[in-house]
Amino acid sequence: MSPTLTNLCVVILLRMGGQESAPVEADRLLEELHDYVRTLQDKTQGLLDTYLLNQGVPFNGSDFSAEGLWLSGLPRASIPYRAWRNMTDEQRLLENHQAYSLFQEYLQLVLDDQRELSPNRTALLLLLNQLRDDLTPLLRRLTAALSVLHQARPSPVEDPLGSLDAPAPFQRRLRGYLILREYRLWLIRTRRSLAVMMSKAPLVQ
Amino acid sequence: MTAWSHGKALEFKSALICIQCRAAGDKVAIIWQHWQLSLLLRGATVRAFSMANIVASAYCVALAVLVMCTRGHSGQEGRKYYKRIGSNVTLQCETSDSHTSVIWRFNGHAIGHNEDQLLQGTNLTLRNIDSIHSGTYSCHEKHSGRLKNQITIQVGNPPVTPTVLCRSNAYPETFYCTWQLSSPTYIPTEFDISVRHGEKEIETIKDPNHKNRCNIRFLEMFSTSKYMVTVTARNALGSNSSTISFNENAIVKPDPPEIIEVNTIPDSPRRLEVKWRNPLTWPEPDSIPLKYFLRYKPVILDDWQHVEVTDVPFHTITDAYIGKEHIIQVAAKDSEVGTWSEWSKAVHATPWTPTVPVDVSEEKTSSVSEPLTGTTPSVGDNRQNNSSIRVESSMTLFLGMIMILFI
Repeated sequence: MSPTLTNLCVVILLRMGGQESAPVEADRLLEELHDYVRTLQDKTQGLLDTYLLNQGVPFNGSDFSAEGLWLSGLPRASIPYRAWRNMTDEQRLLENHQAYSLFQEYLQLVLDDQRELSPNRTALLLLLNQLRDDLTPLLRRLTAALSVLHQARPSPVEDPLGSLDAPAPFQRRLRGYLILREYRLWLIRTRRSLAVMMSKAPLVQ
Repeated sequence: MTAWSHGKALEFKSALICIQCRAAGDKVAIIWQHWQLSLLLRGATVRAFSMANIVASAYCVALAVLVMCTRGHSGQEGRKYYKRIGSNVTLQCETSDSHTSVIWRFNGHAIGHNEDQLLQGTNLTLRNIDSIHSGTYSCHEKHSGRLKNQITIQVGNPPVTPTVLCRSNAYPETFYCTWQLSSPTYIPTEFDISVRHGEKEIETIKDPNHKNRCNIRFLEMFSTSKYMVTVTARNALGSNSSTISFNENAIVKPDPPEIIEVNTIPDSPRRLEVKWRNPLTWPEPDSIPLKYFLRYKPVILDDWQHVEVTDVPFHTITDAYIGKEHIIQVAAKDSEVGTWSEWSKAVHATPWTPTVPVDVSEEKTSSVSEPLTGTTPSVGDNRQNNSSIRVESSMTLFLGMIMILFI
């Protein structure tokens, strides 16, 4: 084989090797994200019941309901099916990044409230601490996935708690419930979004 | 005609009908034979009604005419009444002379009288009626046989509280709700359904293929709001309703998958390869994936083996019983929420079993093989050298083009 041909083959092989690594890395990132969100979901099994049981009356009653109540500023998981289905991979990753950036602040708020309202509930406080800490690796993975799509690092979210009043203990306990309830729904939404993205590999740029 | 006044009656008589209108407080009642139509005039009273109140009188007459038209002009036409099981009912013959001898027939057959079926003058009283008393009762003059009156009775019950069930086998597009009554009414009964999601009322679509079933579209996914479903059963004897509420996740239950193939694997007496397909009702398995649960056992044993399978619609059983017929089923569940489907239809299969060994002497005879023949190299070095150069040049050109494409 002539030297020219040999050199060409080497160059092409190197180039092809480089091309194949991007989709493989994207798939790996998605799979890691998918598995990681599953571990976060496992931690939230029974979370709402645990939280309510530690808040006293009326939260620990069997007929407690917060149906129709909503905390302004909290990222909302609900979305019509077709709108969710038609999102691009970029949109999915960006919205998840934004949502969990906000949840980092809100979970810190819940933790601060509970340290004051339920200082003796060590198991609950430990759980809330873990939930807050779990979001840092999640956000890091989301940023990495966005990078694979050649998207800029998302800009920091505006502090959602700046305009919050200091409500009465009852309202703070209720606020905590609404935050945790929505957090659990977001984890389900994130898992489903990742499943859609993984079903069409590699990541669509 | 007498004047209206508080508590008194306006009477309207003709050769055909006799109607009374009574006013009391804020109620107006129109009484015709043994029918009574009562109206409640909200925000008004009829105390001030008098003979001079043309409007009130006209109202009564107009209603009387309406009742007449809808029920027929002749008392001899059949009328239908709904009566409750266990109640008593008196049927009037409506002869002008109460001493006239009459006979009553039930569905054309003469009625025998007993303590539960009493002839009182020309009236027939039925006591403690049951659904077997449903039918047509006719009163005839005894001597001439002339029909005097005909009444149809349907005996039944008001509806009990409906049992309502909702389920989604097509998440996240639609769900359906079904309803039924735990005890029969024996009379025509209608059902109304209303569905709310939070504050919003949602349209329901009657299922063309299933009785007592409606289909509803999910408004959104990942919602904190519950769906509230109210079913009202209504018939001539009363009504009853039932309300259930639920989150979308709680009702997700796919239909079972369908096993499409079970393959044996040669030389693997303990393996069976099972393939199935998603239920056709599940709208988007790519974006809303299912996970599966496989169970299998030899037909002759009682205990099942179970294995959970995610992501793919196939699985290879590796611990089948050698030579035994197996029964295999699969179930499905949404990967995140809801409950498992029912088990699929069972499929039977037996793993590969070795055939009876062939006689060794026959094997030896047939195993003689032909010697291998190799390919012969091409003849002519010059021609080979020339063609090699041409091939190499073409390859170089081809690879160069590929490289350009990747850049």
